[in-house]
Amino acid sequence: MQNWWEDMGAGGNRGRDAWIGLWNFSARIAEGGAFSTSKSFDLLSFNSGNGPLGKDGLKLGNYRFDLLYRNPASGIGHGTLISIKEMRPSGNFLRWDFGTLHQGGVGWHSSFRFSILGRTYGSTAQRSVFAPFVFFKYPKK
Amino acid sequence: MNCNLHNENLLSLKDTNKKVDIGDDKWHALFSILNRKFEFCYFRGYRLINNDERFKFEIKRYQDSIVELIPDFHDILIDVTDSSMGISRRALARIWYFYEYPSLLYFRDLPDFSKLKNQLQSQLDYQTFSSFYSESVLIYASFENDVIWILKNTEPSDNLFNEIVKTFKNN
Repeated sequence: MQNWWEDMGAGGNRGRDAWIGLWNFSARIAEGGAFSTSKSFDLLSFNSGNGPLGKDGLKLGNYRFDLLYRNPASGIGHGTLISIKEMRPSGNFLRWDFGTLHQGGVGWHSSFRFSILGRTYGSTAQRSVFAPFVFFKYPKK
Repeated sequence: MNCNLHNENLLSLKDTNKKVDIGDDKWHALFSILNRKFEFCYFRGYRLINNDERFKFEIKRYQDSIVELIPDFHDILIDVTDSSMGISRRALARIWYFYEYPSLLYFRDLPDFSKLKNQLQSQLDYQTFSSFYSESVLIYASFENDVIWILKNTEPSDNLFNEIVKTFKNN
């Protein structure tokens, strides 16, 4: 357990793998918690599934931030790690989610849309976990 | 339109890279099929994205049939059974847009409303929720904005998914 904590703070691939491991472990606990996800503890249990920033999130300027909130539509232990959203139609956003996708399977994915220097990158499409770090590869056509 | 049958009870329809707008005519066939097969319908909106003036204006029209599962409209349930979805679907589409996880719950028989309310408030995942209601269908949005999910708990012989896939595969 101590190694796990050290790994999580280590950053890089080691830290990433430790965080993903913690989430997966948490999701397994939630699945074992009978039917009601709200009665079992997992990383998405804060504030009744709304996350540590609450049901209204944290608003800074025109942006809304949310953390660790549940998606009951997708499945037990499924939800959003972090979501940053500009509060206007077609605004910037960035989020990482864990859940079921149309293409099949359950896993981690990201979605983003940024407008930088007059160019827009990304879309509402779901991409790999690492795609936001190479956003320049996804210019809007 | 791309259809993916995940298992005998779960189907997803992907609108090719366009955010789902249930008020769009392309979804008319889906709602016609469901309105024909199911008598009762509720809208559930979970995680209100922005409680602004536009939302307050839109939600006013439902004030007589709305139940707030979490205050401030963060999680709501609206009985839309009496609405003709053919007429009001465009209005409902505007409410759908304000929620991160909107859904429509179809039932063949009238559900026990207080039981329904309690189950939604306890945040059951939809698969578990659906298992409690035979002859029901949930239409919902999840992470992907361009995908509609259809979760059913009906007799396999009802051919619901066959009918839907047949309708959409050529669209």
